[in-house]
Amino acid sequence: MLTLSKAEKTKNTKTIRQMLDYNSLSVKSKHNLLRTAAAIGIGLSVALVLILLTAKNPGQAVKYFLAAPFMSKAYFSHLIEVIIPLLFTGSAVCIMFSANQFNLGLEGSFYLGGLIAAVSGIYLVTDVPFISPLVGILLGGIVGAIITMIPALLQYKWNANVLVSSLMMNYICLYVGLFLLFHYFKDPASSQHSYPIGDAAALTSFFKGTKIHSGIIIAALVTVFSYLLLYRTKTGYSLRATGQNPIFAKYSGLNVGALAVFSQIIGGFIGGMGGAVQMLGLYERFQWVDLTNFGWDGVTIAIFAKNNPKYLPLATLFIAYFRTGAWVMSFKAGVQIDLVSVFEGIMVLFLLAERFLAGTYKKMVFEDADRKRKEREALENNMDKEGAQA
Amino acid sequence: MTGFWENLAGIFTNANFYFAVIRVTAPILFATLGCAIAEKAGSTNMGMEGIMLVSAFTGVIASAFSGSVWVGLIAALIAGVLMGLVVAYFALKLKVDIILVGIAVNLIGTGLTGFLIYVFTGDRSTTTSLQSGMLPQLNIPGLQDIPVLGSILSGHNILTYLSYIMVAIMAFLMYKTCLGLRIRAVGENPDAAASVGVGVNKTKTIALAISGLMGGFAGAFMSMAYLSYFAKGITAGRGYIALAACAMGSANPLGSMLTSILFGFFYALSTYARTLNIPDQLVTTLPYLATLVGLVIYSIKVRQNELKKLNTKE
Repeated sequence: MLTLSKAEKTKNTKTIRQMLDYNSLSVKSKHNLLRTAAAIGIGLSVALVLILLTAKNPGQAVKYFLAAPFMSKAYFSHLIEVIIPLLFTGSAVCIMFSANQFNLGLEGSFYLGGLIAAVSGIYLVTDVPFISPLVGILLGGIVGAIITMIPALLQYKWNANVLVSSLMMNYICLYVGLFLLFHYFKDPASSQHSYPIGDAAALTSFFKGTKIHSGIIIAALVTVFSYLLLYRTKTGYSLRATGQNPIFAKYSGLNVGALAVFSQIIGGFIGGMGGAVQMLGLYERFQWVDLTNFGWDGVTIAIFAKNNPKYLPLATLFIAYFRTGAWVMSFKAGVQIDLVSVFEGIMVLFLLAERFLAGTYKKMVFEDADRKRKEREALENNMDKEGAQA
Repeated sequence: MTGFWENLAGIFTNANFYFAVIRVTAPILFATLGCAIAEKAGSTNMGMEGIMLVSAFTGVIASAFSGSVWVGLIAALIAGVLMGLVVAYFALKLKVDIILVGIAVNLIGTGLTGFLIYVFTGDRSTTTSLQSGMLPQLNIPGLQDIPVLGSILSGHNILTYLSYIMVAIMAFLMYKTCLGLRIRAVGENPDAAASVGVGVNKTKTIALAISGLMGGFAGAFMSMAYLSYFAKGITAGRGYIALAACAMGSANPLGSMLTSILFGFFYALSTYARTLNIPDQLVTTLPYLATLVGLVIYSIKVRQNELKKLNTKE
């Protein structure tokens, strides 16, 4: 038997440990990757089967669905346009869901945020560059925050189910918004458009001929802010602790109720900002006569990003990519854009399925353990040999 | 303002108004009962909206292609049950948060029906080009001859009557049968239920299937009784309203009926209130506002009762 110095021994055990840690980590993440890939694969196959079964020219339809963003500058710019609002509502839902608050009032926040930003651009600060959009976006944020705050407070104060009351809020927001539009802001010359928003209030376009606007910078900042808030501050840690185990959080001395309300106010603020940015970036007049669905999209995005804003860029890119494809396919190949919702819904289900491919996970763990044992034995043998030689 | 009160009185003395209340309540009532039985089993059926959409669409297609509205109804019910089972499979077997399952099911339901409308009809938003039938209306002999009451209560669609009868059926199921007891036990305390040999997942699955069946009725009502065709987003948030009505009605059938009628009342009022010179859009918020206020009042009451219980215990 060899005699190793103490330093050498610790060094060896360290390398073995590191190797084990590294490998055990990789089984879990490998399995996660496999699950994600399987979820995407299932969603994609369902979408493709539906296209192949129904499209008049399936080959062309599939081509557009899978590769449209690379086919023209206009399509690529559409992809970026789609990403912007998704980053906002995605961030908002990440924050609220991290605190385990199922507030679904973002639809209303987004809608009224857009309306108030338009109003600000029409009446309040119409012609000061930089200040006009800033005021619009801040007002949008404030209104958005109020919309999600109401259900949050109702829950905090009287334990009224936040899920249900926030759903009702969405409809109230829509109809109040429509009332304001049709009774105060509508241009008499138009059937459903408001008076024009001041030019200076609009977010500037970056590239001639595309609609990519400076809102993307704000969206990026908001995403970074959400990440820092959730993962780099004490408040964020408390929020996540509240979300994961409210009882534990309570007994650790956290003010669980206040944190829950706080998360929803921030979420609503971001959602309202998103509506404002969308309005000032893409429209010359307010013209939304229905909820935009970006609030629900936020939930989808947050699920793809596992409630971590760090993954939002990837998640929004992924969703926006196929939405652009479906959009192009709808007018080029006559397959309804709604197909993409089916695709997303199926992926959401399988991404979330904790027990999906559980059997495979077990197998992977066993295989991994087996391999590790062999490696360790080999390593020890080698060391023995080296020791013997020395 | 006298005009306002006179017009309001005019609405409330109009038999047609009450007929409308009964009619618009029906789909919400079905959906609310569906949410209620799922809730009693401890599962929030957030996917009601999607279930209704899929059922409504399936009903129209089956009715159009078979030529029989009854085949359509049965197809809608089967679709509803299957969707309920899908929710159960993902929530119980694959352990996905049931609210997120519901959101995904709504996403899929909206997308799939929107996509298939075009496939079946070539139209982008409705199925009016298909010859799908409408479920028959019932004129109840005897009742229809009574002056005012007859015009309010008689001549409704067969499903409208069924929705109110369903309240009694569901109450019987929940409180007078073995299955109902199991469902409530599983909802109240799954561990205790499991310890006495009740299959928790099995019971929840049955509850969700029944919930889907109710969604099937609600969907069939929308496309084969309320309207005679399927239109994109035909349910217009009734699945969410049902969730609210169920929460407010503390998930029991009678409470569900009362809250559904409350919603139906304000909904009917909003269609009639154009004469009141209040802007349309504000009137349309009434049912949602009423639901929100009702929910808060209900929650305050529940809290008070809990406090009372605590006090009497001490």
